[in-house]
Order: sequence, then structure tokens, then C-alpha cells
Amino acid sequence: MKKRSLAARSARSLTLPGECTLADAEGLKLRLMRLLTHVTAVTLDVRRVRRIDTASMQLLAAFVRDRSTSGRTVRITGDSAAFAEASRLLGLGELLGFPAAAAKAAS
Amino acid sequence: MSLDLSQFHQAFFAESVEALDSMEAALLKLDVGSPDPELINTVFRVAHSIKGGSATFGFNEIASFTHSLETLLEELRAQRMPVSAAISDLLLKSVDVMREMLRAVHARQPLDAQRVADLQLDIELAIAQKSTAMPAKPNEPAAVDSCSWQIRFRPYAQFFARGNDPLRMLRELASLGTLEVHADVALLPALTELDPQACHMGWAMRLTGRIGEEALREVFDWATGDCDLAIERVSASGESPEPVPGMSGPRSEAQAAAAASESGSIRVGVEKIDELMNTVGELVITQSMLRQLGRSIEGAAADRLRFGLAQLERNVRELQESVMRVRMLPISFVFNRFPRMVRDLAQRLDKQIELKMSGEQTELDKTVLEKIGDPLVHLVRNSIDHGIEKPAPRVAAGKPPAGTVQMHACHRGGNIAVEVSDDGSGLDRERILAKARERGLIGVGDTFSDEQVTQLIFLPGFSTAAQTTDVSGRGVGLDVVQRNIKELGGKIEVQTEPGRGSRFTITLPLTLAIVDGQSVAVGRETYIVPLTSIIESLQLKAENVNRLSGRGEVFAFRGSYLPVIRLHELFGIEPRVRKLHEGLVVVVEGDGRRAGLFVDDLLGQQQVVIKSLETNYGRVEGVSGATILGDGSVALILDLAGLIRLTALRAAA
Repeated sequence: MKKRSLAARSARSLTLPGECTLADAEGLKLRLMRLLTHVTAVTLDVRRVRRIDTASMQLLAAFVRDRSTSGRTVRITGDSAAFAEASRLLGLGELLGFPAAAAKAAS
Repeated sequence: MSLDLSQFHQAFFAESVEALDSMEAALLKLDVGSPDPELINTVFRVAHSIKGGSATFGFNEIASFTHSLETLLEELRAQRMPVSAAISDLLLKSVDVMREMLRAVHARQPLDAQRVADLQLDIELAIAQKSTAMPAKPNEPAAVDSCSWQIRFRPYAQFFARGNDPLRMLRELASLGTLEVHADVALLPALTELDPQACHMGWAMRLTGRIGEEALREVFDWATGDCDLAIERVSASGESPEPVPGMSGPRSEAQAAAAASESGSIRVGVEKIDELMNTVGELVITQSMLRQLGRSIEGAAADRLRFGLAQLERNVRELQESVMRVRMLPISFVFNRFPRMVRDLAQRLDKQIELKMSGEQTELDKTVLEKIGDPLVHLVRNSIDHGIEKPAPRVAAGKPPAGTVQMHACHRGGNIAVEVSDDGSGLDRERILAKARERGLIGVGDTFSDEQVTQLIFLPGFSTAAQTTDVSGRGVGLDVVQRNIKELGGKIEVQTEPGRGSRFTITLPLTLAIVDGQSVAVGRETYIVPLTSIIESLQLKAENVNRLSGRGEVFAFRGSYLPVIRLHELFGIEPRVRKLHEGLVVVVEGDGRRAGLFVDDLLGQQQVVIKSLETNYGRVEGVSGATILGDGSVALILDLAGLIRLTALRAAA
């Protein structure tokens, strides 16, 4: 019981800002690094994302990959056309697991 | 950490200006009627990359203008529109307008919006007219068969920092057809070690649709040089052949040439080189100080010290020469503007002119290069305006209807010589004399040798064109050209043959940073007299010196009387000798006038590094700069033209 509540308290999520660009890539990296070794599931909420560039997507890709290699998961939630387009065009849908359907749809 | 795009503006401006030069060169080579597709591609690429860059940096006026231009070029490229003389002119004007816009934006000055808008309208009208004039050839995208392309795209680390985003390119690709993307994250470092400003990913893609290779490459145009790119056509059904890793697909010759000139060079600010140059100058001074010190040292280690110092001297000299070479640029930077100018002038003056250039790779110092442009423009204008005749009189004189203007550059000793010659009518002795008399520049009865006559054209207020044209008769005469060249320590000579043409030769020092000087002693001071100004040095006998009222002391030299300039009086110092026959007189020339400098002694000749007095102290009449001598003391470099002027003023006062 005690253990579960600890897990619940420590479940973390990060809401990405509306503009995720190179100008703030350093900041995003720092925020992601704080979550990197978090033991329980981490949620990235992308619902606010209106614009996202390759530099930011690259950080997310590294984050998700690094966590999954150490057996930790990342769940991406929220509905963002910009984020969906970026992950599809950059061929990162599968790696990010978002959204599962968009990973293969090409045109 | 935020990314300030303005740090890339400089590179964008520099690259765009260069790109415009190559666009202009390509346009000038473009044959009206049967244009070379590769030349049109070159022009297109320039317009496209400037459009991309200006859009990235938010220079909307430029982006909008280049967008229209690009549309027109697209029509030409797809051969939906012929390249007519009018279109060619329109494109050349666009080059001018884009240059103007870049300059204005760079200098943060207002644009000539009206001019831009007018030209943009002309371009759009030309495009619109095409669709009515050439309805037989409608848009034919169907000409390209459906096919698949295998694309491997790996941006270099600095890709983001150069204002590029792969996402934008992939989006553009996706708009062309069906795109399958596979991201290559093998080289993506762990998040903790990842530099967020650098691109660590690559992409392998397959694009299917009715897409030509050109359209595909265009997507990556702005990124050329910042990424590895391999594009291969694969059969629509079959397996894709493995592309050669790291290879960039088949390239056109022009692209290959561009890549060759890009590789192995970096862009460095001039101020950095000047700083380096300055430090090397200091090093030269320290080295000669050490050498003097080395001479006075005795003992066991003295020989070894002197050996080391000799080595140091060699190294310093090599270093100095290397740095000097960094500042050297080929004269083609100046020559390149002439094809356009000659073309425009010939058109305006109704003459046929062929421009030949040779020795474009001859290198000279950037400062000299910047200052040689205007005199050359003047000389070429002169040749075309006054020298070369119209086709009819040329044919009547048994010459080909098209005149030839030849520009040639070469190294001669420590100088660079630039020649502008033409096969026109040559200088007309009688007309020059008549004009000079009319202007009151010479007396009616004076007689002149041929050489003296040619010198008359360098007199202020001289112009022989029967009518002043807007081409070269603008009141700025050859006298200004000559003065500018003399200010640079050079000279200009003319050879002419009536009916056969004339040849103007400009000789300039390769650099303005160093001067060959003669050190002279006056009292305890040392002065440097530039060797180029010295005619000879002599010891006067007391009986050869006369004292004239109002002109001071004069002495006879080669048939004329020259004033004596006593440096110690001028600079207010105590000399070792006061009697003219005890010291030496250095006969010098400045601004066409001669004088004798009275000094105590001649010391030696040496190359000195010029330090600006103006930046370090202030302007001093009669002194062009200063240098630091081996013993650490400062010596002033004399400006003979100023000195002679100064003395004349004092004598008159």
C-alpha cells in the first residue's frame, strides 16, 4: 500500500510548450534529463504543441530511446496535429509510439 | 540558450552577393534563343537559395521579389517560355535590384520600394504574357513519368545552426508525392551527451510520384554543402539498388565546380586578418630589435644566439608573407563586373565590343583591390567611349566591325600591372593639343614630344570627347584616376598609336601594409622616404645653390631648379649639419613635383611595416605614417606630395 502511493506520487508528466524550437532546445533537454532516470512511467503531454522542429523531436527521440533501453517507458498523450506531422515526416512515429496509426500512413 | 539568427546574416549576405555575381555571369553567357539549360539552372539555383535564405531570416521584400523571379525562371527552365533579349534584360535588372535590396537590408537602410515593385510587376507581366502568347505549350507535368526515388539525407552537425530544419524539407518532399521515411538514429548520442544545437540524425526515404530529379534536388538546394545527400531513381516496382554510401548522386558540372570551390575554404572576417597582420608586424619589430641586441652580445653563447636569431628572422619573414597572402585575392573579383558594364555600354553607344580578359587569377592585396576598381572602370569606359569607333568607321578603316577591349593583369617584380587596351582610334595628337590650347592648359606656341602630349590627358579639366556623354565625360577626368593611383603608390602610363589603339598600364604595389623605404638621419631622428619617390641622392656643392627671393634655396638638377626642403627646419629639430654641402640632398618626386630633401645622412634601405598615424594619433601634413625601428624607436614615413605642398605654402607665405 505504502509502496503504491509512493509510485503514484512519483509518476511524472511533462507538458511540452506550444513552440518547441531550437531556441529552447537546451531548456527542453534539461527538463527531459530530470525525467530520464525516473523509475516509473513518464508521460509527455503534447496537446499544446503548435510548432515543433527537428531539434526538439531529436531530443524526444533520444529521451524515449534512452529510457526504453533501460526498460523504462514513456507515454505520449494529447492531440497535436503539429506533433503528429513531425513524428510522421521525420519517421519517428514507431520509435516514439505516437500515434500508432500515423507511424505508417505516409501521404 | 537561445539562437540568435542575426549571427548568420553576415554569411547570408556574403554568400548571396557572391551568388548574384555568378548569376550575373551566367546571364551574360546566356545565348538568347538557344539558352544552355545548365546556365538557366545556375540562375535558378541562385534565385531559389536567396529566396530560401531571405525567408528564413525574415527579409520579406527580398523573399517576395525572388519568388516572382523564381516563377519566371521556372517557366524558362521548363521551356514554356523562350529566353528573349527582353527577358535577358529583365533578369539582369533583377540582379541589380536584388543586389540593391541586399545592400539596403544589410545596411539597415530603406529600400527603393518603387523600383522593386516596378520590376516585380514587369516580371509578373512577362509571366502573364507567356500564358497568352504561348498557349500551345501548356503546363505539362505529365511529361514526367511516375517513378520512385531513393533518397539518403544526412545533415551535418551544424545544419540547425545554419537556419535549416530537415522537417521543412521532408514536408516539401511529402508534398511532391508519396513519402516513406525511415529515421536513422544510430548516431544519436545519449540524451545526457547530446548537443541540442547539433543534428545527429539521418533519413532514408522513398518518394513515389511524377517527380523530376530537378524538383527533388531543389528541395535540398538551400542545404547544399551542409549535408550528405544521395538521390537515386529506382524502378517503380523493383527493389531499390543500394546507393553508394556518402555519395551525393550524379552531379552536374556546375554543382561539382561549386562544391570544389567550397571545400577546403573558410570565410574569415577581414578584421581578424588585420589583427593577425598587426601582430605579425609587431613580431617583425621585436625580431629586428633582438637582432640589433644580438650584435652587441659577446661570449660563448653569442654565436648560437645569432644563429637562432637568423632562424627567427627567416621564420618571421615567412610568417609575414603567409599572412600577406591570406589578404591576397585574385583580381577576378574586380574584373568580373566588366562583362556586364561593357555589354550595357556597347548597347547604349551603339558599338560592337568584345571584351577579352586575361590574368584574372593574379592576386593582390584586398585593400589595393578595393581601390583599383574605380580607376579601371574609368579606363574601360574611356576606351569604349573615346577609343573604339562605331562599326561603320571601323570597317572603313579596314578593321573588324567589333572593337576589342582587353584587360590583362600580371605581376611585375613587387608590383601588379593591370593593362586596359583597345584597338580603337588611339589618342589623336592634334585634337589633344587643340583641346589643351582651347582650355588654356598650354600656350599656343608650345611644342611637345609625343610622350608629353599623352601626359596632357592627365591634366585636370581635360576631356577630348566632342560632346560630353553620360558615359565618361562626367567631369571626373583621368587626372582623378592618376591621382588615385599615385596615392596608392602606383603609376599610370599610356602607349598609343593613331588608328591602332591605346594601352593604359597601371602599376601598383602588391600591398599597402609594407613599404620599401630609405632611412635618412636628421639630427637624432630617423625618417623613412619611400623608395618609389626617390629619384637620386647627391651631395651639393656650395656654388650650385642659389637663393631666390620668395622661393628659398634652389639647386640645378637636370636642367631645372628644384627647391631645397630642409627637413630639420620643417620638423623643428636640431641637425648635425647645416651647410648644404656637408649633408646630402635626396631628390624626390611627389604629385608630379620634385624637390631636394636636405638630410644629415643616408642610413640604409629596409622594408618597413606601416602604422597608421591617423588611427593612433592624428593626421600630420607631410607624414603618411610611422613605423617602429629595430631599436624600438619610432620613425615617421614621409609623404612627399604633402611635404612639397607644405613647403610651397610656407615659401609663398
